[in-house]
Amino acid sequence: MRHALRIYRYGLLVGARDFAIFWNWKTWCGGWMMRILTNVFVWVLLGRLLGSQEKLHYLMVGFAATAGVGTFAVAAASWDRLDGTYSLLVISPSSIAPALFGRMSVWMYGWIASAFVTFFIVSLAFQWTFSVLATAVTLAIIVLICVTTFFLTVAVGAVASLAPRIRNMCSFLVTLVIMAFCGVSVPVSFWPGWLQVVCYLLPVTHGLEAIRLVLGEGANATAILRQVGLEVLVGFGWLGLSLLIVDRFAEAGRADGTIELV
Amino acid sequence: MTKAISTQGVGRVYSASGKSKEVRALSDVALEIEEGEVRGLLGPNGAGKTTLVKILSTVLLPTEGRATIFGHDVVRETAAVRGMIGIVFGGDRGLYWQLTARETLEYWAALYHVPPRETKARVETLLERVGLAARANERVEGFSRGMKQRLHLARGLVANARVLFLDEPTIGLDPIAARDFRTLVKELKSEGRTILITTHDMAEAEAVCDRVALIDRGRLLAVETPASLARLVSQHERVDFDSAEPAVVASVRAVPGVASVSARNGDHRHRVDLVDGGALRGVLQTLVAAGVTTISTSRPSLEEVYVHMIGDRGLKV
Repeated sequence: MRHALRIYRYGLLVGARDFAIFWNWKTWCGGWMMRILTNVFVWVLLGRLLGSQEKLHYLMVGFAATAGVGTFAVAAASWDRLDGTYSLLVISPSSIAPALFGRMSVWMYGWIASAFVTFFIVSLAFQWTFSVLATAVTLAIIVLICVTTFFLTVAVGAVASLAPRIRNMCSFLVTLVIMAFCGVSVPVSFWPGWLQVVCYLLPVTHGLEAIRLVLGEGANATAILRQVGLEVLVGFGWLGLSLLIVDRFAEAGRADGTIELV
Repeated sequence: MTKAISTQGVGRVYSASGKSKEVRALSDVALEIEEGEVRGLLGPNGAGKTTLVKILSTVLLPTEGRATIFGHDVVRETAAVRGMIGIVFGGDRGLYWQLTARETLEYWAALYHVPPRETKARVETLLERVGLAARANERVEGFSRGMKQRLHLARGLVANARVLFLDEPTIGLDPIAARDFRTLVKELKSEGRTILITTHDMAEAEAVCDRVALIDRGRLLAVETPASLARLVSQHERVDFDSAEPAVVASVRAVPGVASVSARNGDHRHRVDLVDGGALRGVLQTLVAAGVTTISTSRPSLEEVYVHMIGDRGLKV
């Protein structure tokens, strides 16, 4: 585990330098966050137009807690191929997973920061106040949502890296699926029964339900813990899948030549 | 005694993406390399050198045959093989250009299980060894091609590997750096490491290799010592001269050891191909005696030597 963490740390360093190519603190605040807030405000204002406080809060939670979630990480899974380091990572005596997790996870920290900032600004703008405890629990669940989504992006990234040219499309697809099916904009019950089953196997869905329970009236600790527990389980499921396929796909690339794809 | 590198009938066929056509990159390669030997792999672009190195370094699987590193099969005992090898690919790719040279080596040291307490000293030693100590804290993005190549070398050495694969390692190096590289290879050999080095450069092969394997179109043509390879090249030396006189051309053609005299760029410029290096003197004497003043000699490229070889010896190893 210490060995994996050591590699993860260097992978994270590479990721942090990737991040710095895209953003500095000025462009992150003035560019990225403005874009995110604009998007969130449009949706939340639609909730206000509907004239229902309940719908307004539903959209606020959905869009603020998932602000920026899922972006860039899937594409980052292919960046080692672009650098020409992928095959070198594969043939090192270590698993490729910690290196990949490190490089990709910097974007997860960006999601957490984006969601925190958005949550505070939106709740201030719409004068929705919470207790300190509710705020702390909400922020913790936001972190959980970002981590579980990250595990999904690693799995999708591993698949996308088999066809690196469509990595950005896969990245957008992840965002689309989360926004459409995980209870961000419409309740999961909106979708057909079979699709609801799929929705509950995705990250975010249980986490958002947990936040809505925390911020709703008459919060029920058992129900909240149940949703948090389910979100954790879903996260472990995606983590397990991603750990299972990352090295296998890399090794399979030795046979079919996809290890050399750029 | 177990060979450091051994291949029997190794081949690799690529399936072209989206097409039924298959491309054969390597055929029936048999190599035996002793521990501590520096073996060159010479061949033109597309000859199969890099494919062979990739198979031996576990990047690619062979589609035919068997390859072992110190008796460990590259297909079935991949983990054992990976613990014994280091690889250096030439060119700009394969480095994290957003990291510094020191960070790069520390990262690869972690990936190769170098204990944390040993990493600092080993990285410092390597940076000194490849001449990057003064630039150790600069990011790779600002490095020249030669500096990147030095860092590639250091990265390949970070694991203290028993077997090193150097794929075109002097690409981008200036002559002084290339000379330093040759010294480094000799040092590595003196430490008992086995090295397989691919190159286009005959001088480099001659300087560092114990033996050289010639490869073309995926097939191994011959295994020679650098001295016999140099002899082979000199036999195919050629002379270019300017003269429009048919009598001069005829007298050159009559010199023993001349294979052909062909007109180039019209009737004025001619090229003399020799089959015997000893004929050079006779050709030059004939041209000077005929009053020809524009004369130059050149050696054929490696690819041209291959053409001669295939013509002379077929595909026999």
